[in-house]
This record gives sequence, structure tokens and C-alpha cells, in this order.
Amino acid sequence: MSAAGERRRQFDELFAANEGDGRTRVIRAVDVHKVYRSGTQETHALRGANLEVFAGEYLSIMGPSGSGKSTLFNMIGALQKPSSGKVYIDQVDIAALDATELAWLRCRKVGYIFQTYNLIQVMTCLENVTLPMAFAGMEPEPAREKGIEILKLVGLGHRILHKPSELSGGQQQRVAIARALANSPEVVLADEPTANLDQRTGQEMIELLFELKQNLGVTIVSATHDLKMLMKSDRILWIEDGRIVRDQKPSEVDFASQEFH
Amino acid sequence: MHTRSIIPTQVRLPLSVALGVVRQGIRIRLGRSLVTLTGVMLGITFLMSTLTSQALKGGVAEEDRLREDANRMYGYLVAETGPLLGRSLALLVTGPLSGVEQRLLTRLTSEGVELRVASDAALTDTAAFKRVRDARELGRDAPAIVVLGGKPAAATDFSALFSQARRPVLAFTAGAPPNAPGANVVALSRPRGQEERARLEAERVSSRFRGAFIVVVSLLVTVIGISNAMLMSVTERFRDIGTMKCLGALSSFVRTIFLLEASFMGAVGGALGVVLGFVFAVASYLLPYGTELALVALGQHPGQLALAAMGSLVAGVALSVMAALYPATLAARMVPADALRSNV
Repeated sequence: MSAAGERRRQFDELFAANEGDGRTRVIRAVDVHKVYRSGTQETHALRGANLEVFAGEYLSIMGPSGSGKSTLFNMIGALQKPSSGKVYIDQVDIAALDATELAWLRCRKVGYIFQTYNLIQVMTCLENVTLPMAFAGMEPEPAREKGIEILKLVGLGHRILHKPSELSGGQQQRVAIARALANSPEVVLADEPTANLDQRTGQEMIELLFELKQNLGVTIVSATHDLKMLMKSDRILWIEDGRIVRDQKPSEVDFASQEFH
Repeated sequence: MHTRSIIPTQVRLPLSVALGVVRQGIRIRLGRSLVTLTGVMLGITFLMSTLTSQALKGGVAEEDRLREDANRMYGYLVAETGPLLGRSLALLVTGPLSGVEQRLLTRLTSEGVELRVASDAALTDTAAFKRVRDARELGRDAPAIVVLGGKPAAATDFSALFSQARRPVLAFTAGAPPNAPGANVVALSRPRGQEERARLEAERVSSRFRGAFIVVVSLLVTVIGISNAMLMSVTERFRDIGTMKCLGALSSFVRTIFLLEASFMGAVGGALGVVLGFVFAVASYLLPYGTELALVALGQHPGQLALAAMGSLVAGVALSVMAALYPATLAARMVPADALRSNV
């Protein structure tokens, strides 16, 4: 059997082993490698990362800078393709998609929450939230109604026509969360969502995300160093040197240990 | 087995969404939008004023040439007849008057010459002429008969027309000389010398070439200016572009935004430029040539002027879109993940 065939068999076994528990996997990354080349220099950002995200869970990814965390995040957000290995988002292999299909996937399957909010400054809150809906081809009227609905959900029903610059950081991040939910994605990716917020606002944001997960069954994957966020999550993955090295529940983690301080 | 084979293609956005983004973009970044717009406007102002000037110059030159030719005719006529002030001339009109002939008559009238024509002469402008019934009356006391209209005079007994003049002057403007034995036949229309014609032609060509060169250079400067401003606009919006791409925007949508913005600027700047250029060019002719000649020149080529205005407007949009092609492509090619890292 060829090497490729052997690898293929391993993948199939891996899936078979995981599929018996009746849980839906929103994202599955299998033996993902990513190599950046600049001139003759090769940088291995990921060296065989494996990962699964189950529907409705709140997953945190920990890892020092340079561990490949951002790269892994880009993969599961359909922003980059792996050099080798497979990344499935809602059972679609992203390596097989062209730019247009990736855009489709990003639009409907993934919601992004950025560390720096990344709201479009020239648009109102409502326009920011309805923009992904427009990209998904939704008519303006229903999009508007849904946008207002979602903004109410994140507690900004009274601010829908304000510009982002007129809002506090916490409020802006709420708009960003509303925007991430716009097309009812399979998974919401949050990249250090509390890093630019103060303690109290950060706490509020964690609670909001937790509520969304509890009440709406939103699947959330976040990269974070925020202890409060880690403690709230269902699972914590540790990434080091391009691989997932630990997979623990918060109850199994010693938060008093040195690595958190 | 795990892969869904078909993913629907991402919808192409309705233009209205792109237009909305463009509108907001322009409103918010009004300052720089105005700079871009001014760039287009100046370029098109220059183009339009050059084209208008060319049309006016052509008109003025034509009018100038007509008047000069008329003056030359007048000169040839007076050389034969002596001063004409207060005297009469008999006119034989064989066809519609040419521009030169009209100006010659204008000149004669302004010199206080009485112009007599036969009562059946087909002349629309009757005020300037004295119509007479009798052929004898036509030529009485007239130092000369002038044949106008470009066609050979009908077989007329010219001697009958001259009742008193001893050696009558018979002047004609075009065609073969009338056959009138005993009369002093004078051709008023004489060809310009070869050298003069060559000089005029060379002048025209060199001025056209110079004009074209300056226009091309100035338009290139405009394109580079717009391109520069658009590049800045793209850089400034790097994060927005990346964010939109994360949210599902297609590259074509991003390109459309920038091209739409550019064509809007081009249209508005171009329209302003056309108006300004026209006004400047007309003003620059009004001052040295006076209202009358400038207006005459304006009226001579209305088609050419309309064409210049249309062309300038189209050029404004086209140049602006051309200038935006590179920045728009740059923005469209951007990888979404990169945008997230550029912390502006």
C-alpha cells in the first residue's frame, strides 16, 4: 500500500473511532501541517495538529505566541488552507475549495470576533450586523429585522443607529458578537475577545458568550489567555510547537500553576 | 465520503450594496474624496479648455481669414475705382453670397457706399441694398459693377449698364471673368502665395502637436495623482477590506467598490471640469477678441464643442477608472488573514 493510501486509511480509522458517540463535529482538523516559505527559509507553523470541535461546545485554545495558534485559527476559520492534512468545516474539506467557495463558507458557516473588534467605522451598528447578511444574499428588509433582533439579544437594542466610534469598547465588541451571529454560523471564532477590554467589561463579554452558548447552542472557539474565560469553557486545548499537546476540561486544570501567571 | 461535493457559489452582491458602501466611504472620507475629485476636475478642466480653445481658435481663424480676404477684395476694388465714400456700386448677383462676399458687402456698407441691385435679385438681406427697376438706373454714376455669387454672369450687355463711366470697372469675385469688351475687368479674389499658405499650414500643425503633447502630459499627471490617492485610500481601508473578506465578501466585490468610487469621482470631477474648462476657454477669447468675434467663433462649430464636452466627461470617468485599476486589484487580491494582522 502506498504511503498516501496508508495515511488515508489512518484518517478513515480516526473518523470511524470518533463517530460512534453521536456527537456532531462542526470542525475537524486531521494531521494539519502548514509551512511558510520566504526565500529559502521554511517556517513550520503547524506540524501535524489534530482537533475536533463539537456542536454546541465552548472550546478554548491556549498557546504561547509562535506556537501556531493563529495559523490553526486561520485554518478553522477558512482563511487559510493547510499545506497538508485535512480541515473540515461542517464536513467540507476546505483544501478543495476555491476562493469563491471559501468566501461562501466564511460567510455562512463561520462567525468571527476579533481582538480589535474590526467594525466598519463608516457604518452604523445595524449596517455592520446586516453586512454579512447582504453578502449571503438576504433581502434588506428581513436582514434589517434580523439585525435588530440580534442587536437586542446582545443588549444593544437602543444603539442600533449609532456609529461604532460613539460606543465604548465593550459595546463595540457586543456589536462584533452580533455581527458574528448574523448568518447563524456553525461556529463562532473569537480571537482574544477580551484582550482589549477592562476586567469588568471582559467579564460581561464572557458571560454574554456563555449565555449565547447555553441559550442558543452557539459553538464557540476562542483563543485566549483570560483565566475567567478558560474556566468557563467546556474544554481547553494547549498548542505548542505546531501540535495540540493537551486536551483538558477546566476541572482537570490547576489554574494556580505557574503557567497562568 | 465526508466531503460535500457541491458548494453553492457565493452570491454576487447587488450593486446597491456596493453603492451604499461607496456612498458612505465618500461621505466619511470627504476630505480625501475632494482631493481626488479636484484632481480629476483639474485634469478635465485643462482638457476641456484646450479642446474648446481649439474649436474657438478654428472659428476665430476662419472668421479672421474671411475678413482679411474681404479686406483684400476691398483693396483691389478701391485700387481701380478710387475712393468709394458716398458713391454707388452696382451689384450683379448670380447666386447665393459666400462668406467672403457677405463680409465685403458689410465692409462696403460701413464705408458709406450705396449698393444697388436689380429688383429681382435673390437677396434676403434687403435693408442694405437699394433695389432699382431700370437696368440703366443700376449703373448710373457707379464707378464699378461687381459680379457676386460665384456663377458666371448671364450674357448681359454690360455696356448698357454703364451710362456715363468712360472706362467702366467690372469686378468679379469668382469663376471665369465676364466677357465685357471695353471694360476694365478686375478679379477681386486672388490666390494667396504658395509661401503664405505653407506658413499657415505649418503653424497649424505645430500648434496642434504642441497642444496634444501638453494635454497628454497633463492627463497622465492626473492619472498618477488619482492613482496615488486611491492607493492611500486602499491602505487606509486595509483592515476594513480584510474584515469584509472574513465576512464573506468576494474579491470582485472589493474591486467593484473601488472602481465604483473612482467612476463616481470621475463623473462628478469630469462634469465640473467640463464646465470650468469651457468657461475659462471662452473667457480667454472674450478678453482679447471682444464679445462679437468670440460669439461668432463659438457659433461656428457647435458640434465640435458638444463633442469636446462629451469626450471630456467620458475621459474623466475613463481616466479615473484607469487610475483605480491597480489600487482596486491590490485591494481585491488581499488575503483576509493579512488584514487582521495589520493593526492600524
